[in-house]
Amino acid sequence: MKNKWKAYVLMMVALLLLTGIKVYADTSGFEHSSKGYYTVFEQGTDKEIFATSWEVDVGDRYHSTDNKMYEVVEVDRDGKKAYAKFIEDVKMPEIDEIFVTETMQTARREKQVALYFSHNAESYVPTDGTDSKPGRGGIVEVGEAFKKGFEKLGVKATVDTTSHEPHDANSYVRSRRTATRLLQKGPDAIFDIHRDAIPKEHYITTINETPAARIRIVLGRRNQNLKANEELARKIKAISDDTHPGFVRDIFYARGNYNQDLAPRVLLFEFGTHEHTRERAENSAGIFAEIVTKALYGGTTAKGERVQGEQQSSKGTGSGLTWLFVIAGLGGLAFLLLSTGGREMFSKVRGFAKREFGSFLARRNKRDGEK
Amino acid sequence: MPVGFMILVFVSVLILLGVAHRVLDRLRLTDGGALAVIAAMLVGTFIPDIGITRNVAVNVGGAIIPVALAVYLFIRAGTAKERTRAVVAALAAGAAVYALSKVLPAGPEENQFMNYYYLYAIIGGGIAYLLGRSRRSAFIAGIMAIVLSDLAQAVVNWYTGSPGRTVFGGAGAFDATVIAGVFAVVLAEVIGETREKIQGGTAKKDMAFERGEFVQGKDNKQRNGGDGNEE
Repeated sequence: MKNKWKAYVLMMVALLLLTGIKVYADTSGFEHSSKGYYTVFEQGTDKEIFATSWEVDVGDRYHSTDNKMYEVVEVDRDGKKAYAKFIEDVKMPEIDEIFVTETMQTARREKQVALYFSHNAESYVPTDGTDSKPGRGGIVEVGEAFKKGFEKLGVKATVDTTSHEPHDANSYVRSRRTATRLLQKGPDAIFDIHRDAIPKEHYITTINETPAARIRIVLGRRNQNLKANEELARKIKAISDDTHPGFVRDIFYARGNYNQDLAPRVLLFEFGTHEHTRERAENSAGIFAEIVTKALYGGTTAKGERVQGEQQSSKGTGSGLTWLFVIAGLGGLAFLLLSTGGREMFSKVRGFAKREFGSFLARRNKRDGEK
Repeated sequence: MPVGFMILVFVSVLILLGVAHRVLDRLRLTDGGALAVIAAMLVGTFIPDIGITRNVAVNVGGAIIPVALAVYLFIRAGTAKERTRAVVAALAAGAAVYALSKVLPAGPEENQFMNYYYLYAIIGGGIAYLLGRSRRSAFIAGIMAIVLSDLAQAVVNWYTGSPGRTVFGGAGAFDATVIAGVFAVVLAEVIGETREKIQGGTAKKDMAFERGEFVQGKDNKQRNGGDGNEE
């Protein structure tokens, strides 16, 4: 009886530890704007590095506008402040790599990307009158402008406007279904389109005398495709730095996976923030489509430098596979240790091999015997 | 897609389906049966969703096959007691997942340790195990937790006129439905093994495992621990 209760207590503790639930009182269907935002400072100097409406956690990383990598080391949730330490200067991809004539093998294959909106109610207050328009927020119009930008360059862009409302903890469970459906069409890349919710000063800019909004790329740091996605994100930023410095403002490595575990080249973009006009984000979409197209399919920058497309690159595969094998191996080993331990574990492994590969081994033994 | 990325996707899918196969293998399915279910889920993933209403659809691989398997396991349950426990666990897990989707933070970055579908697996598996210590109930509760929560959301959307679309199991074999079902069983196994460790051995160490079920060994009817209720 005593053991039984011990087991129940252990189970409950395990459940609590595993879930790490933080219950929030705010369930009003916010669109990343009513919660406030974090300001992140450099540890030691207290220099402001960036601001974000995303929840910031220790271990998150940040690739700044000037290509420096920081890691969040302290978070003050009540004060909405965080501190990050400088890690290293990011080595950006060379954009004048040898231009490959068959870049992206364009003659043989249709260029294709797909766009969707996990939070398709997100809107821009000055234009849309609200920060959230259920059904079809202003963000969908930005996606349409992004699509037009791609199509001008000969890239087919599929826009999926499926609503994943309400904006609750299951939004990404629902948008995962849309992302999976889009991936089945075989796009070269798939992008989840969002907007941020911090003061507009962090995002507004002017490109070629046109009002525009800067763009943030978000990478989920909890999946096997992180390195592959990082390659593409860095390529995009490198091209942007070359043609429109500061336009792609940064790359934020957040906790979570944002459906990026489904395949490589699945990215999340923040087109500006809720406080500026939607037109700024739409203007940015056209310019950004050109940058993303060059990153994916190759081309020539405004300065005449040649860019090799990422499409035929497999960078990030090795680390992705390592990640998978380590997770699977550790999971299996932990279970074996828990269920057996010591000598019994080896006996179970032998038993497993015998059971699972028995028929194969038997055939081989038989063959050896015949010889 | 470059070959490297194809390998990466292939290995990811293989590992997920490998875990799923080991799990199904422990649910009164034969090796071949488990493989057939996995294959059906995979093929079903690519079959276009079946529309029910304008905003409600269902995917074959992510919902119809897993729910059919859950129903099969329910029918094959050994006793009426086990069936009742499975129904209660499924309803409780569905309610818990729906409630949690409303109180948990909306951003995946705000959850401290894991993605929500694994959390939902823990809820389904945890509730089922506490109620009946049954792997089959854990699977049923994991699958139905997501299906019932989706159903509740679809009803709420319909009632409130919300434009939100519900596609049951829409991500096929990679949907939260399948992941919750599979990992609920994994959790039930982990808890079961932990309990065994604590109580110093299994109640079934003198039993034989035949055709997916524990049966009394020929020459030993003596139980040495546990309450004999693990399935």
